[in-house]
Order: sequence, then C-alpha cells, then structure tokens
Amino acid sequence: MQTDPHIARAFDRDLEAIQAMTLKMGGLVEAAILDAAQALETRDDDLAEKVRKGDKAIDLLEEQINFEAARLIALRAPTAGDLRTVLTVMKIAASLERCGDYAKNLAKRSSVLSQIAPISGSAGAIRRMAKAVQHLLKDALDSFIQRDAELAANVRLRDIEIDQMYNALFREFLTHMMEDPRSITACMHLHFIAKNIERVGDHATGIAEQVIYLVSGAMPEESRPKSDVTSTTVPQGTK
Amino acid sequence: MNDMRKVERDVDTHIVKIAARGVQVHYGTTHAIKDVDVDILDNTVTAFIGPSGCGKSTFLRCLNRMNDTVASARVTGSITMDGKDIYAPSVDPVQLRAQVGMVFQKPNPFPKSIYDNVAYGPKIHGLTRSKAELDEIVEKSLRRAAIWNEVKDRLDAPGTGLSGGQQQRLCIARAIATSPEVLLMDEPCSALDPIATAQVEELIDELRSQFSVVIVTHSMQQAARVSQRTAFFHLGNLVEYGETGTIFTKPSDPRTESYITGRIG
Amino acid sequence: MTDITPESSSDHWTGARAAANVKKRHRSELYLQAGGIAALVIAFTMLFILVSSLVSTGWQAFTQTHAKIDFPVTQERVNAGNLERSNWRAMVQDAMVATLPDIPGVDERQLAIMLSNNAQFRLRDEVVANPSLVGTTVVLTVPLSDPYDQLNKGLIDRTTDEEFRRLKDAEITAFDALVSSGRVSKPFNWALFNSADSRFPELAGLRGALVGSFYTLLVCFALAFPIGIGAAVYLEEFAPKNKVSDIIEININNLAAVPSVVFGLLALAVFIGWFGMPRSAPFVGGLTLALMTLPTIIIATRAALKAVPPSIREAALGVGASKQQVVFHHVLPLAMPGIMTGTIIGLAQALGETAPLLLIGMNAFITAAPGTPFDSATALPTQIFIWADSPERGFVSRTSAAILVLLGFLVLMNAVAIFLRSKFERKW
Repeated sequence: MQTDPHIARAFDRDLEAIQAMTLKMGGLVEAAILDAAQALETRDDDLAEKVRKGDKAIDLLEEQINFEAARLIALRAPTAGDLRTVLTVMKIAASLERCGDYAKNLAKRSSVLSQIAPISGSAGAIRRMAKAVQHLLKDALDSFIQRDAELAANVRLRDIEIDQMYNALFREFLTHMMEDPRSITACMHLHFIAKNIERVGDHATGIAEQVIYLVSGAMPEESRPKSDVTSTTVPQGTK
Repeated sequence: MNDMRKVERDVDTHIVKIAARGVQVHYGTTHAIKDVDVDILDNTVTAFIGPSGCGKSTFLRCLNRMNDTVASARVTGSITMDGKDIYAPSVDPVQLRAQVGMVFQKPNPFPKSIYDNVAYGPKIHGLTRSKAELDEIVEKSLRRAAIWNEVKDRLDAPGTGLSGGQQQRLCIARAIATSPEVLLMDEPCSALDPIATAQVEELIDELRSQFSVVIVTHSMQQAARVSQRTAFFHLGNLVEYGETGTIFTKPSDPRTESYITGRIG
Repeated sequence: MTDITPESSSDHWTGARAAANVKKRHRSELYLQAGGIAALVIAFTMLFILVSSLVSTGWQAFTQTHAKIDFPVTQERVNAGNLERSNWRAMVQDAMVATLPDIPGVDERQLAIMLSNNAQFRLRDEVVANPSLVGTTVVLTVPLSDPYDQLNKGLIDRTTDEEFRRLKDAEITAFDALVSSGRVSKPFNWALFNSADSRFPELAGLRGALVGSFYTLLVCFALAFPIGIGAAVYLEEFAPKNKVSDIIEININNLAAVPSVVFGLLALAVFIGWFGMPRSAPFVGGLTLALMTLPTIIIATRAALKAVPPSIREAALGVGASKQQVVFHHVLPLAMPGIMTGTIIGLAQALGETAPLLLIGMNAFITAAPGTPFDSATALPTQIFIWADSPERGFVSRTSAAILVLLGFLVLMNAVAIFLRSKFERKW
C-alpha cells in the first residue's frame, strides 16, 4: 500500500479526517457495547440510559462520514487504493452504525431485565460474550487502520467462537424456559441480547472482509466459517 | 462539523477583493461577455470553468485590463478592486498590472537569467532601492514559488533552460515578485505533465494564504481540487457561482450539472 | 449469385491501377529531382565559369616583379643646397646603366624606364630621410615598369613579330640579362592594397578605393541603421493600424525595388546641386546609399520584430511593463539578431552598388586616399570601372583582381550575417 504523501496535501488531510472519524465512531461503539453489558450485569439503569442517549452521536458520525466521503469523491476523484479506502470507510461506518443500534437495544433490554429476577449465570455469560465481541471489533478496526490483512483474516476465523458462545447460550435458555416457564420473559430478552451480540460479531467479520478488499483489491473468496447452528437446533426432549 | 479535519490554511475568506457588476465585453460586433456579476473573495482560490469559448479567459483578462491591448475590445460595467473602479481614467493600467499579476497558459519566461526574470518587475516599478533589497525580493519570490532549492545555485542560468513545470513556477515567482494582491492564472497547467500540474496546484493552495487567486481552467477536476469557490461560465454568461464542494455535489442550475457530469460540451 | 465479381476494396491497393499510380508518382518525383539537380548544376557551372575566369585573369595581379638595384648616390647628382631637388632621375639612370652594361640596341633612357617611374621618388625619400646616405650606395628593391612586369609573367608573347610586340628584342635581351644577374624577384603585390590609384599599373593600388568604400559604408550605416530601426519600430509597434500606415508600408516596399541609378540622379540633383555638397565625396555617396539601404533595413527589422512571439510581449505586459518598456527591454533585444542580419545584407548590397556612385562622380582619377569623408574619393566598384577602361596591360589583370577583392568582401559580409543568424537563432 502507498505510504508516500500526495503532492496535494489537502487530499491527505481529507483522507485522514474520514479515517479518524471512523475510528472515533468505532471507539464509541466499543464503549457502548461494554457499557451496556455492564449495565445488564450490575442492573444499572443510569448507565443503560447513558448508552441509549449516546447512540445519537454514533448516528451523527455516520452521517458526517457519508457527507465527507461524497465530497471527497466529488472533489478528489480518488483512484486505486484511495478509492478503496473511501468505499471501505463508508461500509465500515454503516456496519458500526448497526452495531451501535444493537448496543442501544441491549441497553434498552437491560433496563427491562433489571426489573425482573435475574437468570443466574446469564449476565456473566453475556458479559463474557460482549467482551469477546468488543475485542473482535477492536481487532477488525485495528486491522483497518494498520492495513493488516493477516489480522483481518484472523478476525474472520475467530467469529466462530462468538457463534459457539451463542449456540451454548441458545441451548441454555431453551433448557431454562422448558424447566421454568416463569423465566420465559427474561430468557426471551436475554436471547435477543445474545442474538444481537452475535450479529455484532458478524459485522466485525464484515469489516475484516472489507479490510482484505482494501489491502488486496478483492473480497476474500473462501466463505467464512459459520457455526451458528441455532437455526437447526431442536431441543432435546421435544417431539 | 470539521472538528476532526486537521486545521486547514488558517485564513479569513470573507472579504470581497474584486467586485464585478454588469460587466459586458464586446470584440467588435461579438458580444463575448454578457452581464456578469461576481465577487472574488480575498485569500481564496476562485476557479472559472466552462466549455471552450464561453468567455472565462476574456473575463479574466478584464480583471487586469489586458483587454486594453486588444484594439477591438470594449469593456463596460463596473469592476472594482478594494472598492476602487479599475477602469477609472485616473487608473494607470501599467501600475494595475503590477498589483494584479498574471500567469499564462504556456510558460513564457523571458530569455534572460532566472534572476533577471524575477527581478524585472520590481526593477521597472522602482520597488527596491539597493541590490541587496532586490536579491532579497528575488529569493523570497523564488521560495514562495517552491522553486528556490532547485535554482539557488544557478540564478544566472537562462530561464528557458528549465523544465516545463519549473518554468511555470518561475513565471509564478515573477508574477508575485511585485507583491501583487491578486494573482490571475489563465490555464496555468495546460502545458504541464501530471506531476508538474500537481506541484503547481499545491503551490496555488499555499499561495492563497497571501493572495487571492483566480484561475481559469478547462479541467473541472482541477477546479474541484484546487479552488474554494467556482464560477461556471456558459456562452458569455455566468451561470452559477458558489462554494466548490456544493457546486460539485449539488449544483443548483441544471446547466451546471450537465456540464459537470459531462453531458454538454 | 452473379458471375461478375466487382473489384473488392482490398483490390484498391493491390490491383494493376494502383501499381500504375505508384509508378507514375515515382516517375514525377524522379523528374522533379532531376530538374532540381539540373538547375543546381547549371547555376554552379555559371558561377564556376565566372569565378575561374576572374581568377585566371586576375591572379597574376597579386604578384609584382621587383628588381634589387644598387643606386650610388653620387655627389655630382646631389643638389647641395636643396637635397630634395637633386637629380634623382639621372641617378636612377646611372644605376641602371651600371647594372646592365653592354646591352646592344638599348640606350640609357630605355634602360632607365625598365624600372617603375617611382624608383626616383623612392630613392629621394630614402636619402632625404637619411642624409648621411649621400656618397654611399643605396640598395633598393623597386618594382619594374608594367611592360617588363607583363614580360616576366609571360603575358607578352615572345614569338610575335617585333613590330606588333610591346617590347622590342633588344629590350627583352636587357631584361633577360637582368634576370640572369639574379636581381629579379616576384613577391606578393602589397602595393595592390597599400597604394592609391596611379597612372602606372605597377604602382596602382586599391587603398584609395578601400578607404573610400569604408567611409561610404560608414556614413551609410550611421544614417540608415538608426533611422531604419526607428522607423520600423514605430511602424510595427506604435503606429495605429489604419489606411495611412498601409500606404506607408506599400511605399516602403516599392522603394526597395527602385533602380539604384535613380538614387544617383536624386543625389546629383539634390545633394550636389541644391545643397552644394562636395562632388565625389564618400559623404554624399554614403547619403545616397543610405537612402537605398533604408527600405531594406526597415523591411528586415519589421520581419524580425514580427517574429518575436506574442507570449513574450504578454509576459512583459502582465508584469506591468509599459508599451515602451516591452519594446525596448524585450522585443528589440530579441529581434536584434534578425535586424543585424538584415543590416549586414543591406550593407553588402550597398558595397557593390556602382551606378549611384558613378553619377555623383566617384569615378574620378584620384591618386591619394581620402583623409575625411568629405574629400574626393573612389569606391571599390567605381575603381573597378575606372581600371576596366584603362589601356595599360597591367590594368587588365588588376581589374580582375579588384573584382575578386570586392567579391571577397561580399562573401565575408554575407558569411558574417549567416554566422550571426545561426548563432543567435532561438528556438522559442
């Protein structure tokens, strides 16, 4: 990848600006995910409220990034790596905005869950999953800023762990709900939460694939390993 | 909105430097410029774009009264710089051209040494009192034109011995040696290769912190890269004038959009 | 389906008609080339004939037969009261008699006139400058008179009948005796360039004509150059382009085509008649030639000014130079090589002009080089004219030699013009 600066320094400034905005957005999203998971575990409604309000800033950043990217394309006519950079930034911003929405959803549901009896062990499991997915997201964004295709490939592979965590939680919630119907409300919310976190992991993988496109010029061909089998999971004991 | 963008050239770009109202230009019976109103701002690069023969070069040459040298040209309307009419009978066009510098399409250094090229303007206008002052002006102009390091060891070499991009930068140095307030550039990069073009464009971006620059270009991409305000001329009329980013992302006049998207010539 | 197969488009380039076209084109190109070469050959042949005929008649004039003679400065011939008025002619005669005794058929006077007439004056000048030479013998190398010079160069045919010959047998014998005594030499004829005109071919030189031509061209240049350039600069750069300037331009072009003899008549009537200027003076000649050269210089200067690209003018205007500064700081210096070339060519033409100079009287017989441009003088072309008319044998070769000298100067001036043009030619 090109490391020499452009002769027109304003071009470099514009590119740096949108990449910086992307990273800032990523930071906000990562913080939102961790804060929401913590709000769930500690049943902290104020923290959950903070996360919900913080989603506005994330949405605003996505708008800004799109505006600046359009301006950059119109005024600078970027080509090759510069063009791929701008397209990648736009896709990453869209992914991050969705992740931000998931974090907001998590915060909303945690407010609800703080009113009802907790399912033991669930919050901890959710927190561990959230931590893992935040780490995955961070690595994906790092691979973007460092143009590190190897790290991006690694991110793609590690998504399997998130999927496995989700599979385990899914079976556990099914078991809980079958054993104690009073836990169904809580388990449903927790399930959606787990699902959303798993979706964040998919978005992180999508970001990593974009990075590979950015560095090499082509999307990765081999389909990434998926191990989300919940769509075909049947609980034991049912006919 | 721009809190993330690194600080751009820290300039105040709201003062009107040149105001044109109702300008018409006739070459004999041809009506070349029809009723143009435009405000050129200080410390800003303003680009004039438009298809061939639309009158952008003609209008540019009105700003430093170069049209006076064409026998059949007739300019009406008002053009004021810092509030003073430049076509008033009391204004000396020769002196005006020292305050409004011009760079032409084909680099045209004088067949003299590099030093003499830059020193000529200050000398004939009596801007210096000693050789040392003249040396200083020459060095300052060459530095500002980003060519000092390449020629400082051969100031006596002929100006015509430089490469195309270097010659054009020498012409820019020559134009700014008289400390003009406005710099007019008539398609300055037409005769240059892409790298030299990029160097000159970067130079223009640096210069705008000291002058206001008006550049005529037939390359829309160049106008997009280098200017803060853009004026679109068509068949002698000024169709649209506004901030460059807006013109190139959402122009208001459909003719502008047609030209920019490459739908009309 | 048809049996007729029309000529397909590919046949255009390969068919018989195409081949015939190509052959025709090649043939006409060949004719053109042949015609051009033939024209060149004819031109060079004529030039070669001209130059070789000049050289063959003229080369002899570049040497002059001399003889080394002892001249005893005897007391009896010396005039004690006035050394200058001594009988030098007798001294010369005595010296010749002493050098060539015993030649039957030639008397003393005939011996004496073997030497050039100015031998006596050479002797006089030597002794007057150094009076102590009185009583001694002065050895001088003096030119022989023209008939003997011609004899030595083989231009007098010894085989013709004596009554038709310039020199009689006895005179020839005397000459042969002089030769066999080892006194005769044939050095380079410096007198051709150092001496002014003379009745005697062996003494005649071009100095008067060279100086006269120099003064004439000097006056011509001093007048035509500034006036011509000034007029051209004004007409080209400053004058408004209207009907009046068009008329002026037409007239200047016509003036360049006026026959030179008309200028001579003008000079005679106006300069010499009205203004009463001295006749035969290089000053008047220079004035006349200046009038003739003016249109050439004006036209050449205008062309040179037009050739300066407008981008230079625009650049100068853009920096804030006034019209005057543009012309004098930029356009004129850049046009100077072209102007110089045109001027030199104009002067070269003026150098060879004969008719106007004849009319103002520069074909008089003048034996001294002019001291100032106002003294009477000849010029190279008029000098040639004079010599061509003279009867003495020696002048035949000298005329051709003078023409060669004139041609030499013309070639030199044109070569300088070409050199200047190529050295200062600019690629814009």
